[in-house]
Amino acid sequence: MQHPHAELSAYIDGALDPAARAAVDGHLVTCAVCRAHVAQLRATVALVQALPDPVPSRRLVPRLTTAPAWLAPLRTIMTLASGAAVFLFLASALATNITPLATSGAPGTTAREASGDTAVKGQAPAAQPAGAPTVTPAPAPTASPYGAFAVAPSSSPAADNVVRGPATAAPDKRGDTSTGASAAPGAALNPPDAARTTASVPQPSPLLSPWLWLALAIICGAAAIALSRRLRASV
Amino acid sequence: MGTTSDAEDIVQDALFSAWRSIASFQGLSFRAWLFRIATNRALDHLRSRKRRPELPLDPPDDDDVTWAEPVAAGPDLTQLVGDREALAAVEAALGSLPAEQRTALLLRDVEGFAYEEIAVITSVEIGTVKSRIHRGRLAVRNVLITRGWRGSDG
Repeated sequence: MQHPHAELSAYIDGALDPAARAAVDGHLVTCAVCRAHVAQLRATVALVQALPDPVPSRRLVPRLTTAPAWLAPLRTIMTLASGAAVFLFLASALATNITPLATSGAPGTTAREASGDTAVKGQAPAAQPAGAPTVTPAPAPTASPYGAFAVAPSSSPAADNVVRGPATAAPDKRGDTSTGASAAPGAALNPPDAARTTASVPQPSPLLSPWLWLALAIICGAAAIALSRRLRASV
Repeated sequence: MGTTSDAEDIVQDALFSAWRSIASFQGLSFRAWLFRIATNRALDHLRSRKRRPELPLDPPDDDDVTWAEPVAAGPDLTQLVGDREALAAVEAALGSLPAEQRTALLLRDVEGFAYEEIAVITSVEIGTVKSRIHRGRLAVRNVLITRGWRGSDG
């Protein structure tokens, strides 16, 4: 028999009919060349099979259903909501004047500081025309506020601001705000205490918590991104 | 297909077209039917591209295909499965095959279709399938052999 070279691939695939297969079997017994070729073809097949499978780089099954109609508006809403939440986060962070001290201290301090500031600012213009001409200078306008500060039991910087604010910003309305403070060292304890007790009554509302808005911004942003990807993936 | 993105386009296109013509599915196994659509798409694409000259599609006779002999003693072919260099050579050899041979060979050796199925998938006679697979394998084998890898003595 001639070398059945052309049959060897079909032979190793088991695709020959029984007669042809028997003929090749018989030939291989006597022919080392064909045995080597069979082995080489088998090795070639093994190498082809050992090639790494191609992995698609993208989703190949087309989305036959288009995205639901509400998906695009929802994405817009989520995008706007996350923007608004970022804005509210910044606004609430500014409103509560977050500092490491304020957040680590008692929750009342931030509110007290804010209310103290506004109270002083609101008072300043009114005190200017009425108080300035009539008031006699306090005995020690510089000493008394600092004295009050020194005696004040609270060492929080917020209390420092409350007392120091009027002293440095508008020293000429001293008669209005700190007459009690300058009168007696004992009475100087009162304004900070009063400020603290009255100002700590309105607890910071949860609506003012910046972290709430930050979390909301992150959630809405993530939702908007996920929706965008879903929209892009659909036809 | 040459490039990954071309291949992915073809697959996606084929899947879409299979979905549209699912009513025409009959006889064949579903997998073979899908491969038939995808294979036709791919071969059409290659023919329409015509960027690189194809090797001659039909050499005269399988017995005329030469068996290259090793030029030097090297590692046994059966030892090469984990060899990245050898696998790259195999891939390059497959890439240089005529598309019809490569298609038949991959349908057989990678996808595991029987000769009869490949004949239906590629719409040719079973003898043509046999010939294409054999020539494809021989070409890959020759590339490996001429690179110095020797076949085992069987």
